[in-house]
Amino acid sequence: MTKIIEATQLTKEYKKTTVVNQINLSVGQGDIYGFLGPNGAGKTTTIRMLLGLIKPTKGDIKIFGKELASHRIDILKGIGSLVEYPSYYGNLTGFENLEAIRRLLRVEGNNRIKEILHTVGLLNAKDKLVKTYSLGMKQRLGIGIALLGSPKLLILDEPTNGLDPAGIQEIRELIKGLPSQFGITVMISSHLLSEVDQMANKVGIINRGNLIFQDHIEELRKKSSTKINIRVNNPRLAESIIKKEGLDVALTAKEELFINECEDGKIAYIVEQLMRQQLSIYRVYEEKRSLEDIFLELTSEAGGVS
Amino acid sequence: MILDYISFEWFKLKRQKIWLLVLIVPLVSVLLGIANFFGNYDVLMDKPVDNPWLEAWTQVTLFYGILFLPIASGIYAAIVCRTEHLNGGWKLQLSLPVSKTMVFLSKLFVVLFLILLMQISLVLFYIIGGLITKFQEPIPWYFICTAILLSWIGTFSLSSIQLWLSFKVKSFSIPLGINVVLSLLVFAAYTSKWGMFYPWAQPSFVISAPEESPIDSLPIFISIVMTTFVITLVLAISKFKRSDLES
Repeated sequence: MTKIIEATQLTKEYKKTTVVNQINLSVGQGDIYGFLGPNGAGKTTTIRMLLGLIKPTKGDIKIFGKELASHRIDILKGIGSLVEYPSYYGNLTGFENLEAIRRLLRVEGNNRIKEILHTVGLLNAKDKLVKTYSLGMKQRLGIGIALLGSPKLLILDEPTNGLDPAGIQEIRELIKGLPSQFGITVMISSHLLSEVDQMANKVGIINRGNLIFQDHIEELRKKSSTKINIRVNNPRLAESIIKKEGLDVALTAKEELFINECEDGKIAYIVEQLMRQQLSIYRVYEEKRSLEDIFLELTSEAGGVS
Repeated sequence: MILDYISFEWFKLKRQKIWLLVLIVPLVSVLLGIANFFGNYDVLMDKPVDNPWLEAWTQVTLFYGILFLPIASGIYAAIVCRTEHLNGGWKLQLSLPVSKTMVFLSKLFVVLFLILLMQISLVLFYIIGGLITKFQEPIPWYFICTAILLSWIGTFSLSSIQLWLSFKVKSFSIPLGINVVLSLLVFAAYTSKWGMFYPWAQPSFVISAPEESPIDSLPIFISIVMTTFVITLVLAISKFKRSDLES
């Protein structure tokens, strides 16, 4: 598969703090890449580096197979972007904002602007000053500006930040349709997994500047396999009994036992062994972890280490 | 190519009411200058050869050349950066496939064009003021046009510095304050032989009437202005190109 974005050992340091630490990003043609991480993890810094707004301290960025450092303008011709909160000219109308950018990009004709306004649903508000727009409308205008130059790659940084649920849904539907409609690759960052869950096929998770996961979203789903939770009156004894049976068991701080085995026969057998030892069994239940739980676990684990 | 950039910059100034500044600064200067001229009529017109057009011009440009012009050019520089500072315009513009050098040059062009408009409106108000108050002598067109053109060229270095400052400092008032202080130092520049090198003083040195000007040789002055312009421009652009965009 053709690589659209390839960043190797990408690092950004400010004075003594490392904001982005040797990350390797890989986004393929046609991907919708969800770039996830808690606030302050280094997402925006990474995206600013990908757009050439700030220079990496170390590392390499290749986009469309070309070095960003030496082909910035050439590469940016193929990128539409929205960085953090929406950028706009408040003293201009929605139409004029697009018209201003159109002059700079030398995109042809008024029809293109009408098309864009239609795509992002701002046709009715096109003659209002953008400073009077709601946040959702500004955000949609931002996406419109990003689409104006018919990009091959769309980089959207927190495009749903500060929106209400209806606004989030709107933006999501808009973005979801893009790759199929226009055949473009999308990189979208968010601090909520649920936001990209329904659109992304590939996920990268960044925490405290480190990329702690990067793969297809199915791989992340596999991690959300079910576990059996057992509570008894003497967890320590129970732990040793289960271990003797050759099973993986974890005892949590809350004195709960977790086993990864879920086969009915095995569970029945274990419970029988525990009862034989006169243990009182309070609970045996299946716990299914959501993708969000995995995400939180991944980000907090890595947080604890560093 | 550069025309696309300039048209982009010009378009963004819509509804910013810049024309107010372009008209009011010269109008105030002319009113103050002519009032001052009549207030000190006997002193200024003591010799029979004195031309009221030149004597009053000295009064007008006293305010305009030393204070209002450098301050106004700083405001223009702040205005062309303000739309970018307000709502993420810098990152919007610089994440587009644009050359940073062109971005800087087109902004500078717009600033210099606004200054030129202000210079022209100064001349218009002055001529109107002189005609209303019935100056007897013929209008010294050649002198006025040269003074206006040269003092405009004198703002080139100044504007590059101001534009760089406005890019670096988000606030509107901080560069303005710095600018006012540096403009006041122009009075000191008049007494120094190095005064010609001071960008804030350059416009005022060539706008005043010939006998008031501290300039001995025009060609030397013009080469100094051009040299400082090239230096400030190259420095400003190379800094602009290398700067990281954090906000």
